[in-house]
Amino acid sequence: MGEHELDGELVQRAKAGDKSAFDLLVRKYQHRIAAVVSRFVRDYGDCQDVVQDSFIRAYKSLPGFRGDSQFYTWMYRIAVNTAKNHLAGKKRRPSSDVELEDAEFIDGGIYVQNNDTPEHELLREEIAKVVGRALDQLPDEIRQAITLREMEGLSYEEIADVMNSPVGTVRSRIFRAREAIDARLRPLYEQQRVRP
Amino acid sequence: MKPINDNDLEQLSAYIDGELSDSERRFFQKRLANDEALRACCERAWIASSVLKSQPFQLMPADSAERICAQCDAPSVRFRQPLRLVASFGALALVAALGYQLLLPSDTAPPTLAQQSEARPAAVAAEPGPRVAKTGKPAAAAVSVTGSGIRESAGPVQDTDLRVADGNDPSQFELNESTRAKSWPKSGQDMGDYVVRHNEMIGANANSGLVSYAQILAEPEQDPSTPAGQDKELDTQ
Repeated sequence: MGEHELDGELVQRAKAGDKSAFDLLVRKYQHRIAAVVSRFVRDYGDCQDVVQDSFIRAYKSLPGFRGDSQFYTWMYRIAVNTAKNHLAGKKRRPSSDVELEDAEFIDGGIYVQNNDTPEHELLREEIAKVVGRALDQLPDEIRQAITLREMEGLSYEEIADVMNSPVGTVRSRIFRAREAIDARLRPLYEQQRVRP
Repeated sequence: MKPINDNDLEQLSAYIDGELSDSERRFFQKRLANDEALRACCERAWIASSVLKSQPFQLMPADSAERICAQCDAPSVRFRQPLRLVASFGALALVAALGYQLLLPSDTAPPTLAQQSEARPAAVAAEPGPRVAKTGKPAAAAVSVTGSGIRESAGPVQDTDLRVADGNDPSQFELNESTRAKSWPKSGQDMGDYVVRHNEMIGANANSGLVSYAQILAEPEQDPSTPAGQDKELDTQ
């Protein structure tokens, strides 16, 4: 089962009324959706409201989601429409001209210009630096395993083939990499938690 | 809630990669559903994943997922407001209808549909308010504006006709000299009854040569300084 199939399963469970499944989908995608919304809505508080509204709308529309597109792409559309409605309500134009077609472009991993506040830009840069430093300090085999998984999108079996290691070892190496990254990321994340 | 150990974290790592077997995944999902710390750990792993994939992200507050999920079950304010509005209008309409019934004399039979449709042009003529507001012209000009409106709307009754026929207060009229000398009914209700009776009479005797109330108002003394067709122009502004 791949990552998208896992999303599909979470969607099916959420449709069946499993709130914890929807909670996981929110946790997985809210930060990326917030990045999309922030291109339309400059104010951070408004941006959070729009993200929240988008997920609530998505939850209420889940029965109509047939799964023809990926959950993230569907969610992206809802977020863009919600952001545009928000701006229309305030009679403002979008702060950039990001359109629905950009979903795949953004998924492709290319940063587009961001209208974030310096504070949030700094925090994001800090997170990127922390993760980058953690990655650099990993032993070679562990770094290679997580790189093949996250950047190349290979399955555990494919990584095992590339690295000539058992799948169990690959699984363990990827876990070790994530554990090391999380140990550095957690303080920053918890600092964000206490931020007003 | 059990403390998170290495085994949990390894399972979590495999879970987010979709690499758990079906039974492992079902078991782990149950743990996730009941373990806030494990879910937070999962969220951080997704953030790290976004960073590694160079995907843009903006950090949401740590408790935002809980707030969103709590809001999902709450009735939407957006849906409640229109319902409240509809209910208010419904109550208002009910009160108005009851008030109207109470004001009607008890021996007055309700008018037939034909009578109602005949009475409508007169009712339109009796309410120049909206058109005055629309054109922004002084009240003195309203009669002629309203008059041409009647002329044009003669025929099947339109929704717009019903819209302007709501009120019926003759005190708002600025009458021309030929009509000012007449004695008019004293109350709004009497005025309404008078108009209905008048139209009934004309409807029953189409060839009697009598002029309907609507026509009287539709053809006031023409101001020579007003070019022909200006009424129509004002009406469409």
